[in-house]
Amino acid sequence: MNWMRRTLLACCGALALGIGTGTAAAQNRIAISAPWGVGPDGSLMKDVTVVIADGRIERVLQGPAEVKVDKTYRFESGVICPGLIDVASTLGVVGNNVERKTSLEPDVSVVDALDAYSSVLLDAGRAGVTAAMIAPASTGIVSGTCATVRTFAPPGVDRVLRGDGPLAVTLGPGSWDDELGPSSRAGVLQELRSVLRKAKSEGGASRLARVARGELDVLVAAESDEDVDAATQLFGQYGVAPIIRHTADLVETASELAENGGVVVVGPYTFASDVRLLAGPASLGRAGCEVAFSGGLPYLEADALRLTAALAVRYGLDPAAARRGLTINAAAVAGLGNRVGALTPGSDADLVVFSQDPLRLDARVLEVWVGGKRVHKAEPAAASDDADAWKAW
Amino acid sequence: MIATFDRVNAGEAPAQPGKMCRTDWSRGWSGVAAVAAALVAAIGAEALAQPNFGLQQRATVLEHATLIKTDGGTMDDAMIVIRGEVIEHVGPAIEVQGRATRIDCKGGYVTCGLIDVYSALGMTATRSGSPINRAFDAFDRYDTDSFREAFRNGVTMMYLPATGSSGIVGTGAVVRLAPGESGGWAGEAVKDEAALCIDLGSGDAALRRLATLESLRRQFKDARTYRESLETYEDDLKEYEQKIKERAEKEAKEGDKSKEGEKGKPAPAEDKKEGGKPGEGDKKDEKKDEIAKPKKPSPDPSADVVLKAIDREMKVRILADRSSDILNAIEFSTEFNLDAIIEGGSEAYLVADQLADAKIPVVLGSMMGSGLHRNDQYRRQLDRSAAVLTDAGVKWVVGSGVNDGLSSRFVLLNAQMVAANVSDVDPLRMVTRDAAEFLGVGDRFGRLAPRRAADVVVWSGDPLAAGSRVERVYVDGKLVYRDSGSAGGSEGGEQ
Repeated sequence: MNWMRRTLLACCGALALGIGTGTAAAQNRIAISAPWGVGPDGSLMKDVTVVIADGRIERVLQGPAEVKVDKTYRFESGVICPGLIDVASTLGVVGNNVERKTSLEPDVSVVDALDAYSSVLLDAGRAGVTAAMIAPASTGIVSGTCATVRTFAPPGVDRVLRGDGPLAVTLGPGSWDDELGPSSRAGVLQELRSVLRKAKSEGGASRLARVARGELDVLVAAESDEDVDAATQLFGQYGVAPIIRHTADLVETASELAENGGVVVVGPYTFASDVRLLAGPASLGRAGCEVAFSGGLPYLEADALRLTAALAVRYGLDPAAARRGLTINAAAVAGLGNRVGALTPGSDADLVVFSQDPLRLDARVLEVWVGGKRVHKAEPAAASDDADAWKAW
Repeated sequence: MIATFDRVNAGEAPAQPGKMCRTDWSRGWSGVAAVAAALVAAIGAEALAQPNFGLQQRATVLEHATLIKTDGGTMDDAMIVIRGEVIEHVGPAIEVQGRATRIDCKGGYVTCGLIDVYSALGMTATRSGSPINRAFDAFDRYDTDSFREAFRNGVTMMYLPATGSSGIVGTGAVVRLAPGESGGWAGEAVKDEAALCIDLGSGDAALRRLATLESLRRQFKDARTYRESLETYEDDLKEYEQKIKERAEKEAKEGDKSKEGEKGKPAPAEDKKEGGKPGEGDKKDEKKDEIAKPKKPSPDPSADVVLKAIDREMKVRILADRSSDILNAIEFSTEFNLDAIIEGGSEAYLVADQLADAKIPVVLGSMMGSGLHRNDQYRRQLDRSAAVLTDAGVKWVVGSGVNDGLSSRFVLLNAQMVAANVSDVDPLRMVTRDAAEFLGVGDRFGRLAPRRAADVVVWSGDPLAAGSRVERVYVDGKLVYRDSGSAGGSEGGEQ
């Protein structure tokens, strides 16, 4: 037997023909229950039952519960977790997310570059990553809008969760360019200030005008604390609290960011990451900041998202905060806090059943559900006929 | 005075948060003699056991700890007693003789120190490889930042391969992070020349890899030729000595006959160069010249090391990721009948049957690094490769891999990643008992048991659970790491 081919076939089948193994008819109500579940606060709740109707979570019950549904999927062991979301990802858009004619490209939409047939989406999905907020490359000052897409999109379920935001802004050396635009920190800030002022005075529906009116969220990539400060002040004038994507340790500005109340995007981390970097999320957490994780997909493997969170925990981040960083905080960064990222009534039923706490790296994905449909079911570990499977390849 | 004594015996130096303790152990010992008399009076006779200066060393008692049993179950409220460099007791609480430093480990777990079978901790890569390169010589014993990271993650011992070039790189060593006597450094070679390290250069271009293999064969063949020439020399030398002896006897006989007694001394066997008196022994000199002394081959230390591998006195660890390289490694080790191990082995699962037939084990490195987009020797890395190897009957172990000098710190996390895809394996056991046995040091390390080395880790909770921290690490019975305790919440044992 060939598990991989089988899985691929199952997925293709699900995509093309609408035959998901656990597809529930629209009017059906189903329940998934497991000994544990990840709550909206990131803590592990005992005895969780999630009731799903019309592709959405209808109710979440705790403790022993009997619910009247058409079918119950009961797990003797395992943890029900909202589908993981990789933020600042390039899943499905690798090499295709850079537009560099000028330093200001607010009208680029990264969703246009999405290759929905890319196998990396399925790879990520099988690792429990049900959605990715894909971002344009951090070149230029304004490089376009991010988009959040599902990795699995069975029939009747939207591939694109959000196509128009947040707007990606880059400060620091990444945005400096001798030929196309400002070549210094001061120049970049000056340019940004002036275009926002202009957009505000002109009004209209342009993306920069929407930012200036506080209608469009902003993701700012900043490597240094001074750029973080600058971003907070600059966008603060327009009533926008930018989401900071930070690739350094952020020890100095942690408390100021906490006052700002936003979520900070951190990661990816690997086994080779610097100690100071790894301790960043913990210092943010201590200062009262929330974090969301970027797993570096697909340049790193799909499990790199969970690894990033696990390493942050190893270096002091509270486990519940880390689970939030993989789910609800990531959804908030994507501007989809009401739709995905939490086991709460009304949310889309995008969830993953892990064999254990998803922060444990020995946890496996048992099943993946998207829009109330089962899109992936793992084979048991080390099935004895697997050795033969590889000979066939 | 007493404080000094405490440090010496119990290793309870007040370690600064996140720093290795830099106690001057040797200076401390001098204090022992000074306070010994007072202590004899204070402690009483029963404390006077035989070892170490006739005075029983102060014990470190880890109380109320949870132990993980070999069957995976746990034992609560257990006690571990460390005395000197060894573990004295593991199990239910007992009455501890003599003075002791007691540490309450309530809620915490205690394990032995973790062991990384494949590491680059504190290492600098060598640029050119040679069998006489020793990894331990490249080990930086003052790399305390790296050691602290290892301790922070419970790691106390590692196998360090020689790394840096393709072909024969050098010999690897098993190193334990035991603190040095003068403090400030650590590192004890538990096993030097633990294996001959070969790198088949899986990252190189295809033809380059073939050239590497070819030069490897030549080095091994040259080593054999060297041995043969040594053996030939030995034989020739014997023959030569025999001939000299025979001639001397003959000459002696002839001398007796001609009654020229003083010339009939047996010729000195040692050398031909000194002729007799000029003119007189012309004929005999010619004869001597006919018996040439064999020339001893010049010593070849590299070949000596390779011969240890050929004689299976030393294991051979072959770094090979691509399946083609692994097949070459199998062929090579069969040709020279080597005690071989495949290191890295990203594609080992593709040739699992061949590895099983050749009975060659695999040391897996980091499970991360393949990426979803890649086109090199890691591109076919498979998260389930350990499962495939298991099914094929290939023995495997897991280390951290030689990504960087800090690699060892995440050996347990890496083992957990492997364990996610193989049923019935215990990640903790993989990096303790299994690792120690694989490295051939299982008699002293890898388990918490009486008389074994006191390399002990105290965790805030279940070592496998998210949020558990390492609180204390003892190596060689000495406290080498203590957590500052400021980190975030622990949820050990929640699952």
